[in-house]
Amino acid sequence: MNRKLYALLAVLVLASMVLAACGPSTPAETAAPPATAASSSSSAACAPTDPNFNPAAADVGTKVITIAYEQEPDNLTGEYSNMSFAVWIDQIIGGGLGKWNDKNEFIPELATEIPSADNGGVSADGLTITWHLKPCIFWSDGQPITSKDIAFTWKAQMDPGNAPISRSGWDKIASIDTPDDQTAVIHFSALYPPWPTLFTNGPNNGGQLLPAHLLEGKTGLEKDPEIHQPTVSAGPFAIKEWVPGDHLTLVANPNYYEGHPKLDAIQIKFVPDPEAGLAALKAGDVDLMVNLAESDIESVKALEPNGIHLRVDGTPDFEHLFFNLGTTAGVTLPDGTVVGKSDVDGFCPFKDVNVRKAIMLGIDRLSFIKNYLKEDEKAFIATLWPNQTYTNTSLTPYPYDPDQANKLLDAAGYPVGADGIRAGTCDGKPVKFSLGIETTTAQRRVDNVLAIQADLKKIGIEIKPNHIPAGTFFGSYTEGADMPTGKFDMAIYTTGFYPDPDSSSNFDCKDVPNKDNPSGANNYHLCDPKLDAMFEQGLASVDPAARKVAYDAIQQYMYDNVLNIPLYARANVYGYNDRFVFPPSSGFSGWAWDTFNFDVK
Amino acid sequence: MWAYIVRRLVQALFILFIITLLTFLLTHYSSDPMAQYATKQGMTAADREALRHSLGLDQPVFPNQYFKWLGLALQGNLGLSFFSKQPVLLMIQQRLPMTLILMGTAEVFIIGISLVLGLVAAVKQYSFTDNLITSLSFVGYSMPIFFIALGCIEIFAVEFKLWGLPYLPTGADIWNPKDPIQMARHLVLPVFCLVAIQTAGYSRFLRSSILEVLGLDYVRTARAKGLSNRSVLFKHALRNAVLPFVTIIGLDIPFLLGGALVTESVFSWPGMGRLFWEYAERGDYPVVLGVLLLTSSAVVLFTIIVDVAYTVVDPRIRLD
Repeated sequence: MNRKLYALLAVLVLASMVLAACGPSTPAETAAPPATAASSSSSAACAPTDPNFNPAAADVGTKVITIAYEQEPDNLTGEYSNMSFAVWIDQIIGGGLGKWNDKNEFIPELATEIPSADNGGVSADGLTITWHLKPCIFWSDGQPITSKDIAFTWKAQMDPGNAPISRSGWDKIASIDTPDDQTAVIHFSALYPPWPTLFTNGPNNGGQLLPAHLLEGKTGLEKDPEIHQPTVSAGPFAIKEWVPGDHLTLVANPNYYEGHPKLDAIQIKFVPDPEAGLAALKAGDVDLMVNLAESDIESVKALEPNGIHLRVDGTPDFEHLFFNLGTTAGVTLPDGTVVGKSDVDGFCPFKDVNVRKAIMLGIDRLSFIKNYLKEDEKAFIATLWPNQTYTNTSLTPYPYDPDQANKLLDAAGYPVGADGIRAGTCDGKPVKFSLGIETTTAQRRVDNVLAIQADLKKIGIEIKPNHIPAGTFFGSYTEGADMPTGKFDMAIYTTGFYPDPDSSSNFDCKDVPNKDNPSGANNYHLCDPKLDAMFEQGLASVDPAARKVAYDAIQQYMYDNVLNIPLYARANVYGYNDRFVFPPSSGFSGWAWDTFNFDVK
Repeated sequence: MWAYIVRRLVQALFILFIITLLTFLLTHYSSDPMAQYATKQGMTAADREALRHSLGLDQPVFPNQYFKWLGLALQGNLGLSFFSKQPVLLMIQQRLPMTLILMGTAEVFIIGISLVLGLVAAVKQYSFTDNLITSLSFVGYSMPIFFIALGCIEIFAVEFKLWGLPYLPTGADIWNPKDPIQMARHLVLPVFCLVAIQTAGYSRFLRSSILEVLGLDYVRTARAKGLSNRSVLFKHALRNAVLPFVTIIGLDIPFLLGGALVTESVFSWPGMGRLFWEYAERGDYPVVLGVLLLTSSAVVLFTIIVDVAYTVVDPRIRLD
């Protein structure tokens, strides 16, 4: 009986093996990424993988990660949002012509190659840029992505009926020719070296391509639901759902030019603060927490026994202390015109480079970086262009040298008084080194100012901290905010000049804010025609090598004249768990530049 | 009574006007929406001017900006958010149900537990039970809610999971609010925290109220008539003792609409409190004013309802 039973079972097993071999492939095999439509040059094969793809109805799948997000985006189109949290989503769902990789190199995305003089993409005069789209690429709804989308994106940016957050650069485009579906010839009316920032995604970029087939003919795009929550995508993922205040679900876009990404879906969970995010990471509710601060480094390290890993990436953003160098008199140019007038005079001794240098030498920046930030020495920087190809690597950070600082201040004519505070006269008026440092209420800035206060006290400078909520600190001139109106001695905040190194609007004489120019962005209130000319040189060529020379010179000039004090390079801090495969991040574009390769173990 | 109600409604409109005006000015001067763009690279002065114009911020704050908002609000249009460009009414509609679920559930538990604790503490005055309830009430009352909330997450969500025990969610996972079981699991910790904090005050209030009533002549008379303790307590004393309690609850109900900022924040609950805070930080006054208009309208309305309810509960009160 038993032998008959075994024989029957053996026959059944053999039969099932034969049937399985004849049947469809296993789920594991079907889960492999399909060949991309774009990889075929045959027009017959040029069809979207899923012409009827609707992300709202798509299955979330099994390979899913959850990312904790401290701020909910306001909308999900880069042209209409200034939030980093929105721009990161935009990088996941949007498609640009190029993007910056983990080495901060500009690489093609929807384009076949990056235009250059060598490949004929950049004209000899630099005024014409020619982009070629990859053949046979599609929006997630199956419609082709063509050069018409490029032209439409520009037109939408310049349409007075729309309110994008910036038209900078877009307004330098005179026309766009689209000789065929793959080619866009962009004619600039004036040389515009930061052209790579247009039609590309990223924190300081112009934005992704907009779908002409859905938006053409519309105005008031800033209010359009398709801008707020795009239903089509040119990136590796598309939006399935957005539950306000709670989460965002992104599912794989089957029509992406590279094929199905390694994950089936990415869930973005909105958490109110880093503490909630870290607790969720520890509990296993989320796989990745982004946008942590340097002050969270120790907290993440402490979670290592729980299988949580820390990643700290240097960025081109920097925290800096700067002087109010404004003058009510402005600067008289050789032709007699007066430029760069500020409403308020800065602290008079700041006009002396030796006073500025003394303050630089009097602050122990390296100790602060190690003790408070728990960062390593790579955050100790000499220039405002750290961690990028434009960094002037010949410069070394000024050391901490309080003795030299005291000597410089003594020599400048400001001896220490009986109360331990330096005083003297400047331009015939009595001055006392009792100065305010204005910044936001963020804890790291409270720590910054306390450390600086202790250091500068040793060289006879009294610091009075003034912490203001960011919404007021960064307020506008018309609201009477201290930065643009010049009502401060010194200030601290973070910014970064990338992916293009141009930052002339932060330093130009014409951008000093005053009643005639309330929206000027020169918070340093510095007007130096020599520096203006150097920045003009940086914009005089589209050749990166020539520009490097110009920006090296700018950094050297700022360094020699101590026009500001770079405190430290900011870091991107991430916490992620064991199961998540986290590809290298980009300094220029952050963590979201390569979500196609996000994976789980 | 109708004349009274109409008079109160007219007064309410004036109060709402003052509230919105003050809120508008406070929001306006506490945070500048343009601050978001202060360090945006590549943005020119012309870009900033264009943005200010498109948001209407180039108009005089008062009266232009305020009356433009008020005019739309009177037509039922709370305007668009400065940043999301979404209708504020829609944003409120998306968040309000979740707030009502959280706060409503918490309120039911708060009332029920307060009634029991207040009653037991009053009946067993100065006993060990009373002292225990009193002590726990003070602990709950003096504890910051964020501390309880973070502690609960650490113990019941994080450590329980690590220890392999049944655990509760941190709130930061992705879940489906339409699933009643998932909803119940996610409600446990935030509701517990709200109940722990608010029950303390309510139960102390109720204890005092019951003790006061138990000392009155009519209760003594009831006891002298030979009524049982249960009858005296529930039929005679409690009905009068809970009257001021009902008033407090009535005045608290409108605040349920505003959500619980700290609890919602710690537990990542997508409610009105977080909506208000996130947009207030950015100076998005259409959203801030929309939320406050809803809350303050409810407060004013419920105040009138409570006043009217008095005349029903206590016939000696005449509103005319």
